[in-house]
Amino acid sequence: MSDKPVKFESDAIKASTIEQQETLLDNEALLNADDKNLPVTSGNLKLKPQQKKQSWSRYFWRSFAALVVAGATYEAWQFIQASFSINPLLGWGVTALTALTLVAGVGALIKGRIKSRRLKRRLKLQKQLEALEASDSYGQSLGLLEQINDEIIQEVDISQALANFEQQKSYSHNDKELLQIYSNQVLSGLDRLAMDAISKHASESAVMVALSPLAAADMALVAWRSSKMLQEISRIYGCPQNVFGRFGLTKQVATNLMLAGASELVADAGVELLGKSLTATISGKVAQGIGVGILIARLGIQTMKLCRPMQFDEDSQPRLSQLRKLISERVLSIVKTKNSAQSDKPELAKSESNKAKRKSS
Amino acid sequence: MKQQLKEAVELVERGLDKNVRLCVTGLSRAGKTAFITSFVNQLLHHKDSSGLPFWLSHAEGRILAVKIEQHPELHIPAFPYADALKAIEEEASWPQSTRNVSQIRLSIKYKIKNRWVKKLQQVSHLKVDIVDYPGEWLLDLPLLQMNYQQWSRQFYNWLAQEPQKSLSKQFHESLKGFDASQQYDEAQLKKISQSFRGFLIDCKQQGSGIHCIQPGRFVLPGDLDGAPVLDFFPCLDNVKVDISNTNFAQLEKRYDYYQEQIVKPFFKEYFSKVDRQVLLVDCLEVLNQGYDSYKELQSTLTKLITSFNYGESNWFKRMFQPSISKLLVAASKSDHLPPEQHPNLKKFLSNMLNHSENLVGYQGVEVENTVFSAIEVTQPVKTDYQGQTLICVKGLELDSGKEVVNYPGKIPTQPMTKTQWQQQAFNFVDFAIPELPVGEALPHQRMDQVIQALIGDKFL
Repeated sequence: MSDKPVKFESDAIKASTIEQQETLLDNEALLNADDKNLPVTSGNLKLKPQQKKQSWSRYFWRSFAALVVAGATYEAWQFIQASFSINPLLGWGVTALTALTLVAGVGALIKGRIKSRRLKRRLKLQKQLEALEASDSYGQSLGLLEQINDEIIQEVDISQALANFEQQKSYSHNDKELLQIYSNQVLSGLDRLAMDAISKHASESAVMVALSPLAAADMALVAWRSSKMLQEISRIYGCPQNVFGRFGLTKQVATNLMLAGASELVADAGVELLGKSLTATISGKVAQGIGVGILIARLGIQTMKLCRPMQFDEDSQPRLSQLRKLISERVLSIVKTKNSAQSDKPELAKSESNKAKRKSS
Repeated sequence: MKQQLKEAVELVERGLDKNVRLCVTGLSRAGKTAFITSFVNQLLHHKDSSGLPFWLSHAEGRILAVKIEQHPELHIPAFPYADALKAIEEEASWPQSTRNVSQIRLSIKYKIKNRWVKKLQQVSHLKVDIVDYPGEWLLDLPLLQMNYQQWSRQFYNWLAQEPQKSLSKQFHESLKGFDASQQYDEAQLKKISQSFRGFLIDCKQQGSGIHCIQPGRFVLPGDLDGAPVLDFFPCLDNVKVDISNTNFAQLEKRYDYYQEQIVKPFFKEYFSKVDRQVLLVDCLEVLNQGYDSYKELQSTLTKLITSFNYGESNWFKRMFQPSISKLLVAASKSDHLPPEQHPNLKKFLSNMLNHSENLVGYQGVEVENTVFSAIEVTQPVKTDYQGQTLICVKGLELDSGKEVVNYPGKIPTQPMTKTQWQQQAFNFVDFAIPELPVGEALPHQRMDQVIQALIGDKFL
């Protein structure tokens, strides 16, 4: 491009107001980065992703899957034939049912696949936006933001926040500034929504675990509640996951939780310690409940980090300490009311008997 | 008892109220008046304004009300906010430039965020004093370190260089027949002084790229216009000082008086309690004018920045104890160039002042750079030029009054070599103010970030 100045009279040239460009950063390398490997990096050195080896286990899983499918097909075929031989009408019915199951199953699989792709795309988007925030670029973010808006709008009503964003942005803002305004106006609201969801689910399951008598039931409860929570959070950020997708999401969240574990443990150490000294004084079951609640809250926060289109900065980072207090308060308040309801009765009885004694004397 | 409690609460509240003193400076045409007008305007219009997303306490909805208050220092002229705004909104012309010191005080009522302070008090006030003065006056500060002879020597060294050399013919002519050891002659002194002043004014107006003009009051006298203290000029003759009524003795006496009675009190009065300093720089003019102007501006700004010398063991601090904690060096008129080049301009500014900012930063002062426009008068547009898309700015040209679309050239992000400076051409056009809606917040670029940088941290 020529860098020489040019000046035109306004009438002499066709000038259009700027629609910000939608060209995206060419960051192929960035997108191809393998997420599954441990991020062993130091400055600008980086461990290369491991070459995939043809291993026996892969052959095993493939052949095993093929075997299962073949077996199922054979069984189904025999079942249909058998029912035809009993009665043709029954045969047709069974055929129709099988077909329906097949279609619905494949449909769900494809849909789940699409939705879990959405999550993958979200992770790419995070990286793209991060790159934009670090650069001095201009006019590249609006296209991406529109894409995000389209996804979120299907799940959450953000029209008011978007209107605010539209009002506050101007031509002079570069990508970094636009992203900041977007984060403040639109995403922070979603963050609050997600935090509400987390605190609801976490404290609910904390109470349930504290009250439930069976250890096996505890596990089922935790799995059920946390899966519900993941679904809700992923919806809030506009990348809803169904059963198949949720499986992938759970896996990712668990990996992240593990990877992030060490640093976050340090950050939250004070909080955890406080929690422990508190839980030490109350009963084991209640402490378990609070522990589970905190675990679910941590799962939730990790999910937020995965699903949010932009990564959190230092200030907007959701903190476990905000939730911890809420959870333990909730559990304790319920347990206390239960206890006091129990302990009220004997006292009442005692005073009654005292009265009776006084009367008799 | 109740009354006493109320008084105690009031006392605490007064104790918690804060005051920030903001000094705005910059060489002529850097946009000081426009900056202060816009600053005040944005604050006053905070309620209906959606254009301040980066002023955090405003975004949090904690700003309750803002008003202009009369300044308690009644002997200092008030900043003519109303006049400036009238010029901008009604006459669509740039406001009158700064010729003198002036002050304006804003009182901002806000909700307290800090959860400990909140227990004592819900709402607090922040008083912001904005002081406006010509940056040229600041350049007088180095004079305090020199006596008359040293100053004269320095002046004639400076005069031997271009472009000031070619402008000084008339001044040299008026010096003919002057003898410093002669009996003091008021008429002659006055005549030569006037010619000297004329020369300095020429330097300012015609000498493209001369920024460092000393003494500053000779170009912008403020209320000293016509006072005999300004009737002196540098003189190299070495005359015995003890002969008291020679021309030389008289000149020296006036120089000393200028030092003692004009320069020193100015700094003492305005700098002893400054909290935040804004230095506005017009980079665009320098880019238009080329390498020599760049060098000159760089050295002048270095003098300006280091004259707020903040360190512990320097004489300025010992004398006046300034307490500047933050310095914002801002490139104004960002709307004159396409928005995609704003980062380049910021880079250019920080490259230019790297050394001096480093010095100041070393003293523990926070230095920030920004690129902003106090009043946005153009609009970015896209044009096709020679088969390529070019982002330009569209606005009313100040000289011709016609609407133009201007592509000013590309500001490089790396420091340029001297040859590159000569090859690279820029054409930044001065734009006029378009018709603006009366009574609305002025359009701006990044004023919110400037506000946040200057006073944002005071809203606890």
